[in-house]
Amino acid sequence: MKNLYIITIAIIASVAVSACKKNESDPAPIIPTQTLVLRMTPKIGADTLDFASTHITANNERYTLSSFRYYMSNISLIKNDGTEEALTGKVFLINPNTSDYSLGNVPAGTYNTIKFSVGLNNELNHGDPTKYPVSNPLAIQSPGIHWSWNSGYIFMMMEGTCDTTDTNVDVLTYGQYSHDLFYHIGTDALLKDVQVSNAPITILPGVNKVVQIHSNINQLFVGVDLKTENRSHTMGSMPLATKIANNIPSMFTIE
Amino acid sequence: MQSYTKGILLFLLCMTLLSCKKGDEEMATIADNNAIISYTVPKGLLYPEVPVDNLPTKNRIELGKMLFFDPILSRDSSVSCSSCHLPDKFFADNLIVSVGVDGRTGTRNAPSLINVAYQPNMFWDGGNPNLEQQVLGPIDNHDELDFDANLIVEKLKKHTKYPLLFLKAYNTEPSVFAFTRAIACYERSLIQANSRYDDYIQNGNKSALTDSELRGETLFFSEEGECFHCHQGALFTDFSFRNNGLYEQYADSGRARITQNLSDIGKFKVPTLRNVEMTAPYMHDGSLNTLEDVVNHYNSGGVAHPNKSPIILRLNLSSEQKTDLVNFLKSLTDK
Repeated sequence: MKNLYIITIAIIASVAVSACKKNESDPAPIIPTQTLVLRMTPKIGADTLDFASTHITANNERYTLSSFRYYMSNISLIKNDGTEEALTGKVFLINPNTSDYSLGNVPAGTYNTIKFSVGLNNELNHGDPTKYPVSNPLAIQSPGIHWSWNSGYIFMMMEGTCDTTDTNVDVLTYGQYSHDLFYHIGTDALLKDVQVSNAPITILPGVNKVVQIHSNINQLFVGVDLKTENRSHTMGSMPLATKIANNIPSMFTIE
Repeated sequence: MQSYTKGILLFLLCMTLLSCKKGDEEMATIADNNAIISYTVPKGLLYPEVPVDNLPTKNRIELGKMLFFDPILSRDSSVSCSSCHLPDKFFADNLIVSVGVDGRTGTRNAPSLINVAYQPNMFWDGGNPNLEQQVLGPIDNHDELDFDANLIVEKLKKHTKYPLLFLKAYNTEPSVFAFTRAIACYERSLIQANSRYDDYIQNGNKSALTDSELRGETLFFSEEGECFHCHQGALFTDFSFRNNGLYEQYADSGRARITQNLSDIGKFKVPTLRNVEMTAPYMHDGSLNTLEDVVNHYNSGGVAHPNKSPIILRLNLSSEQKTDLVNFLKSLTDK
């Protein structure tokens, strides 16, 4: 009886092994790949971001911007059937001086969702920034986007000024934009996962693909009173930083 | 391009050396000075942990020392590391809070750098992981050097001396990696333990301490004085973060700024007591002027705070005991 078991197991095992071997000898199906570029376009409402104009939030609060940068990492594309194409190792520092960020070669096909994180995972966030070559987005930047006093990166840095005056009362200071506006959002807890799926991304063999992704900055101010909630270094103003960070995922749309 | 520049610099280095009569000797000296050496560690201290990418050589320590004393690291070339960490003040500055560019003042007292090699993390709140990365802290801080690491590199590259020194020490042109390492390599060399107390404990010289200091020592290491619970071991610190009941409301949240935990409000890293006599004023904010003030604070048990360390309680020491404690602390001053 015992021998029968052993023989049975041996047969099953040999079949399994030969089946494996057969699979291995099969040529892997060749999926054509194509270059995919993300064109990241920061917007304010319908307008393109610029650092010269004044802007208005959905609550009619007035502000200007001088800096808007954020880290994009952990990027993947998801097909209709749920299969995920992870584009590992890609980290971008999205900044207004650069619009196009290449994801390299991506298998052709139709993807209904692009997924990414705004920020960096724990390991990258607490790595040593002095160890990267100058060209790496994780190297020390000028101006800096890394905290040396609480070692970690600023995931999203937005700086400018805002007008905290009341139109009818503060006649003299109205329109002066004399108040600092800055959100330096970071820390592991505020790493935000983003999924954009408002339009499919179809990558055809032989055709380089550019996907344009809008980020609507005004979306950051949802639920924020710019008159009082205009400064955060994250630490020390965690509730405001959390509010801003929670607005990040809804900023993005595919054009 | 980078290797091209490196090649040119190496070529220039060779030419410089060849053109020199004693070229061979100098080349030999550079090679010697690039040998990995050991930090000198006095009796009683262990060899510190050193990162493998920054093992000490004479060239590295020498370059780090030059950078440490050079105001090139500050925005307007007015302030250097040594402006707040003065060698003749045990690498502290005797100010309540240090003065940076434009006369700006910070919010925390500059600590001594003696034996900084043993710190498991940097700053009063432990927010920075190691000496190499710590170098970026004062550069970024608007109240300190207020500059930009990449701009420092640009200045170092144009300097008449530094490119050669970086090449010798780290085999590279000036870079953020190399300059942070060089400064850390020098700072790590500031290891010292040659006080009268060390003479007493390490060499068994029983006459090194006075009777009052010996009574102070006994009190320090007793449950009556309680000091040793936090200020323990050869460096007189356990490197823990503690709230010592200084304030009911802390202007500086301390460790909580890093962890965001309410239970860390008002906690700061326990400092070493070596050379404490010479590094007044005391506490994270320099708010206590003298060692007598410090002993009086602990004798009182401090003020109530939910995070106050439970071992900080009223001590009821006599004035003689307090004097003995202060005298003992003064025996921890290096020669």
